[in-house]
Amino acid sequence: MSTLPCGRTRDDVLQNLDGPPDAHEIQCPWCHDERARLKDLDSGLATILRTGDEDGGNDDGAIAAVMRAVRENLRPLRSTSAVSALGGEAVKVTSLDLADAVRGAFGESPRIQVNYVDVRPSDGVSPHRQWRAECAVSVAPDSDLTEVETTVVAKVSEGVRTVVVAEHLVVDVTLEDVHGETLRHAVRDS
Amino acid sequence: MSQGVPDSLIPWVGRAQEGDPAAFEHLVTRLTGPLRGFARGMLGQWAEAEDAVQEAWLRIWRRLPHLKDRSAFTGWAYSITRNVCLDRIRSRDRLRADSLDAQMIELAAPADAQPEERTERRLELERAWKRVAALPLAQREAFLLVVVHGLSYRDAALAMGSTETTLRGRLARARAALTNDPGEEATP
Repeated sequence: MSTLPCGRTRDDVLQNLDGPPDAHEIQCPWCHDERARLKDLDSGLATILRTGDEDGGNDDGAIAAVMRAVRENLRPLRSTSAVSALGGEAVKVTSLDLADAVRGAFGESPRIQVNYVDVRPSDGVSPHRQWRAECAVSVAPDSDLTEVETTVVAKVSEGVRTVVVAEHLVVDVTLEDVHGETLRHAVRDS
Repeated sequence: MSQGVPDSLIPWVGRAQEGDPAAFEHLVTRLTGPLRGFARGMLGQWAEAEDAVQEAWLRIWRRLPHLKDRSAFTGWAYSITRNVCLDRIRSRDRLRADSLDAQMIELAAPADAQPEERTERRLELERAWKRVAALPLAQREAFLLVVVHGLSYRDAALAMGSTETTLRGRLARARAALTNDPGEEATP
């Protein structure tokens, strides 16, 4: 273990290498120099070890191979009997159809980012006319959450009702920050 | 993505959970390079890393509907890749990370370089990998995830199935070993 002239060890500096220097390190020339030296070694080694990460394999080929395997293992989409919002006849809709419709209702909102949508029937009668939608969105940092919540419920309702008849719709809203942390959760009738 | 909300993988993860293969392809495109680099660090071989990452992506696809915290996707993907690598390491019952395959050496020393430069770069890479390969596995993982691949402590701890405190300790020990002066270097 190397001890610096100030009494601290190299391990002391290493323990906090990813964080900001503490009060002692800021004013101590030995710790300052040791931190700089260790940082240089660290980043130099990382650079060497990253050699070829970008072009090491044939990325296009690797991605194509993964996607071929994924497409061979596609999960069957959930399909539900519903009443068409357009003609009133019984139709089959998939979970992705309903999610697409809801995402379409949001459009390119600059303040709301749709993270996840799941719409399921909530009644036991086929074709279904009652629904429950789960919708998680990220909101811009300075947003009015009550206003966003109201908008989300309206957009989900609009999206679902462009595809199917919904005599009753419950919307389970999760508002998240830009890092995905939950800010608010509410269940609202629409 | 939008003006008010910064671009992130979260909506792509959600869309892929809804069952959209195109969204999943976006995730594959964004993360295959880093995951393969990590697998290479674990396994020491490009070709095996390639296979491991393909296997990891299939596991990710199958398990994706059960992922609750979409913001943890990156750490979770590394965690699955790590487990695939560990399975492979256990099955071959030894580490080969101290021997570089020809493709890695070629990458470090491109054909158009001067012979001296090729030799120097090859030796530099070999030395670096030997030092990393000599680390205990848990320390090597911590170093690869945080320093080489730039994961946050939170994501790296998630990937390793440990706490941030444990990760911090392993990382410090890895760095202590790697930054020793050559004279102090322990024999692998």
